[in-house]
Amino acid sequence: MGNCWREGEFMRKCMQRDDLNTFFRFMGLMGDRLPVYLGAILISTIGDAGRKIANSYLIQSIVTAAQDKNVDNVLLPVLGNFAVFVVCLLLWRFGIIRYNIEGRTGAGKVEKLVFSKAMRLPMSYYEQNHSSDFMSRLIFDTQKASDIYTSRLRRLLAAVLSTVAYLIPMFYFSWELTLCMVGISLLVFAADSLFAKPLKKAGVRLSDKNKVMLEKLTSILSGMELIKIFPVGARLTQEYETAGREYYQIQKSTNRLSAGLESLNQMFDLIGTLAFLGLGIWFVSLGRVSLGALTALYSLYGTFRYAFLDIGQYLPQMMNCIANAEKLFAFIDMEEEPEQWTQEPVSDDCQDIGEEIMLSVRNVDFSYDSLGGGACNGGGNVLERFSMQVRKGSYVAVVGESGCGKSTLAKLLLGFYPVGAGSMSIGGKAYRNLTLHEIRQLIAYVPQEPYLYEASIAENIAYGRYGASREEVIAAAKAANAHEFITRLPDGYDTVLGERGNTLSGGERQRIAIARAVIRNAPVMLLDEATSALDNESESLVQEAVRKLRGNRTILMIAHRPSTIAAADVVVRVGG
Amino acid sequence: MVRAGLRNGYMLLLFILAAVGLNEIILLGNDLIAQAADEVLGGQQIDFSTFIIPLVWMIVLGTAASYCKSIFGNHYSAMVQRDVRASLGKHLVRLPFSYFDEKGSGSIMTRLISDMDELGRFFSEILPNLLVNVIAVVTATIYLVQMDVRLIAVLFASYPVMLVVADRLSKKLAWLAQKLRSHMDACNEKAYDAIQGIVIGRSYNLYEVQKKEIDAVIDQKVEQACKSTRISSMGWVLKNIITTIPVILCYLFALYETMQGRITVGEMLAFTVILSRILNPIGDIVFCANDIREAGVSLKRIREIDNQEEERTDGRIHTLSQAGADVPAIEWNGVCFAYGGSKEHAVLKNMSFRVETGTQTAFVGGSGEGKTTIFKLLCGFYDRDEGQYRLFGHPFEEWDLEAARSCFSEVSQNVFLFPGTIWQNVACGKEHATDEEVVQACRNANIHDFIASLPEGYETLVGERGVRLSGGQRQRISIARAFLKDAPILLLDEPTAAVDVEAEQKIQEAVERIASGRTVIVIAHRLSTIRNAGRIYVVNGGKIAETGNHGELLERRGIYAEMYAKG
Repeated sequence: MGNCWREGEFMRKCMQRDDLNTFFRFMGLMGDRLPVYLGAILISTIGDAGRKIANSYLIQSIVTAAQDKNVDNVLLPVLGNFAVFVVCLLLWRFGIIRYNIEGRTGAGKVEKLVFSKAMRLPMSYYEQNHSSDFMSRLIFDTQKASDIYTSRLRRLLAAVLSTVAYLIPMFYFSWELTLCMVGISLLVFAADSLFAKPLKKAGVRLSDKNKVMLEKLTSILSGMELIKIFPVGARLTQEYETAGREYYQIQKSTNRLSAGLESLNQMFDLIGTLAFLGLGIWFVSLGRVSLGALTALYSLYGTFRYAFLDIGQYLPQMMNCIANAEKLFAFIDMEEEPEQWTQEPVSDDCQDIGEEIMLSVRNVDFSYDSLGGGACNGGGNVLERFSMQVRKGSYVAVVGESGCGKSTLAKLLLGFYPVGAGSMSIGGKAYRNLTLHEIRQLIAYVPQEPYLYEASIAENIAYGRYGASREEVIAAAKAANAHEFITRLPDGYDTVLGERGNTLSGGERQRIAIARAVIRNAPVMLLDEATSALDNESESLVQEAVRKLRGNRTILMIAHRPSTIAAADVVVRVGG
Repeated sequence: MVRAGLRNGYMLLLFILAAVGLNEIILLGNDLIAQAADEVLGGQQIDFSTFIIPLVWMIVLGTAASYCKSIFGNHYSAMVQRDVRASLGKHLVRLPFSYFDEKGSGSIMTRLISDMDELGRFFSEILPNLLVNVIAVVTATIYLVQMDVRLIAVLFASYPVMLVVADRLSKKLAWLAQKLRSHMDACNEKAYDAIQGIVIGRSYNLYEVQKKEIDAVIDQKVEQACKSTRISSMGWVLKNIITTIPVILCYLFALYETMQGRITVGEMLAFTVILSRILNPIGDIVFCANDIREAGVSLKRIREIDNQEEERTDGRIHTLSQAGADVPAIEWNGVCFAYGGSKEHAVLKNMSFRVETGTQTAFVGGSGEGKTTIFKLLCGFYDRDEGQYRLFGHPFEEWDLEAARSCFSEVSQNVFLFPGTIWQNVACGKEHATDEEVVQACRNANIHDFIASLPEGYETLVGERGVRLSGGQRQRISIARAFLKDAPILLLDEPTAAVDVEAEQKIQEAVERIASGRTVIVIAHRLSTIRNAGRIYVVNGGKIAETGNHGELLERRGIYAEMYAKG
């Protein structure tokens, strides 16, 4: 009784309305392919169940023949059943191919949706969430949710459908025995779900400990240089061993649990098999069932039992995937970066500014608090009543102590964040009259740590302007003092950069980033500490590249090195 | 690893016994029922009460055997993993640093972690499954042989074909899965790439371009998946047909044997039941082979690490004796070195220099000239190929490595912090450091005020789950670590290269404080930081090209003067 109640509650919990809504919404992503997809599942299931049923009829005719000592009527059923078997297999194949195509395409659709969403969030999201963290979570959720399309739903539906399909011939062979078998299977089902919760809990504890263990191992491996120099090796191995031993202890207690479950299953299996056969023989002796039907029934019972127990296994798996889908929808429903920051109009400065001023910043306040979450240390305004004007074609150095808001200024100019108060303009147009796309079209940005994509050098530079030709790429590289070292590489411009551009030095990467900015041919060039991490030689090469660009472009350089500052026309001091 | 497998072998033995027991019980039950069936068909009236007691016994014993089988098998796996981990952890820290440097600790790590996973899977799933399947097939075969040898002959005669097909199929499937996997990886990498470079993507309006690229990779993946499903589903159809034919043949042959009177109808019944029981195991054994092949690769790699030689421990000098100030801290004479011992790509060629105790010495030179290599050799991470190296007057070979390294502390540009608290990260500079010592070290390193300002102070976690520290803060923590270690020689690897002006000042202060009274060796890319060094060695082409102090070197108008003019 208790089990039944538990069972009911379990089912109710699983089938909460939200989950159902999520599930339907997720299936809805398939669009008009959904009927084809479901039809394919049905066909493949029929094919699969059909051949197993055919097999049981085959056994029946053979055993009957043996019992009757009469082989005359064997050949036809054998061939017939084999034919049915082959037809069912082909049916299954047809269904499964269609199903896989539809499922995979659907999964691809979901992925496109998610990844394009991931590229459109407000910048504050990327600052507050470490990219590899949220991406690995996202990819995990996407894969898990897509599993609904590519495996989970079919498995569950197939288990339910074939359970029903098997029951029909089973009842036909002997309804009394079948009822008895169904009863035992229900008991197994109940026992399994009784163990499900503690096993899941143990699984969570195991994976937690495993994480700790991995962390310790990671510490040992990535801290190897420290281990050699500082007396810390013994402690770290000790910690790793302790974590390992704790993991072992949890493993041991989990083992007892899973052994309990396994033996319980085995017990029911034995009871099922032995009682079934015993009871069956008794029925045979009573003449209520033939030996052939009994054997056929037994062979079907095995398949039925697996399909039936699969329901209990696949339903929670399905629910887990739906939970992932829910997380995915939460992500998809997140607000994107708007086309334009809607700002309160500021009364004192609404009009656009004269042509000769390239950039103008007036009385700008900005604080990261307004973005909801501290990307920067501490609260308060990072910029307060900040103003500056930059003439067309000038070379401006922006200086100031660390944390005073130099980089923030760059991000505001790029429209990464809305300003708290004040106004900005570029090329004579007020920011509030421009879309973010338009603003960024006017700026070529070189960040402190240049990011190079995992593509060829030529492609990395060409990202600066869509459709740039090879000649233009080379010209830009020359302007950025990069052409020489690129041609020295074995693959030249087609060298594919490794993870995070690892194969190049910092100065080389920076110069490729500058080439990318050059090819953009935007009126404003914005460099954020572009040389601070470089050695003297690389720095002078980068500096020279920037100097060459002076004149027809407005250059804004955030810097702290005296050599950089000395080259500028104007120095703007932020903060202090 | 093999040792761990053997040491815990008794568990495996118990597991095997339990599995055999369980199979015997099942076969016994079958036998009992086959007899009953024959009696019924023979028209006898059977007394079912005589069946009940043995059946109940079988169920009880079978359940117990199953419990034992599961628990012994899983315990075995857990024990082997525990032992492997324990010995591996100890072994890893004793390996020479060069091993990690050459292979790149990142790649060792990912490999090792996935290999450990695979190892766990081998002992917890693959091996027990294989054994269970083999036991099931063997016990059933023995039983069937007693019943009718010919039956088993037919079964095994028709199976080789199936084995070959299954083997081919499983290889093909593995290949397809791998191909799909690489498409998936490409897809994820592309997305990662776009997000990691979001600042560029955003500021260059690359959304449309990148979306198109990502979509194309996804489409390729879907296409590959569709191609795979056509091939693999055909494979499954073939496999099913081929595995079914021997079964039908077996049934028909059993029918024939019954007609001939060689086996009874009851025995035929038992045969069909057992056949259905061992069909899956036979198939699984074949598929197991593939798993074992895969696991084998991982096991081999772990053994490779296992067999890697540990660092030497034969040095006889274990403590630094109080040598007079007149003994140079370091003396190199004609040192040559090449990574991997390749003569053509020598990094250091016949390098000689002295570092006097208590002075400040700097090494300058372009990038890739081997300055960092000098540090690695000083600390004994690598052995030089030729030449002499004396540390405080003693040949380096006579030093115990640990003792030699205790003479050095290092502050470098790449600061590694262990995941843990700030306290732990500083305290690792010295064994059994007290709270006062840690705090004092942090004060000296100009980082105490910052730590104290954190809500959790010294207990603040750093690393992935803790606070993110700036480059300058990390650097000062590493200086505190060096203070605590209190080693006579301080190695400075461009400590202020990547920080801004304000941070640079604080670090500079801390560095000056720790440098006073010690022998200091600096590697510098920025010449402004080493103007005060007592002696400057200019490294060029793996040799010392120029020597002198700042003024002397400028007068020489050589490499140094040129570099200085550029900066």
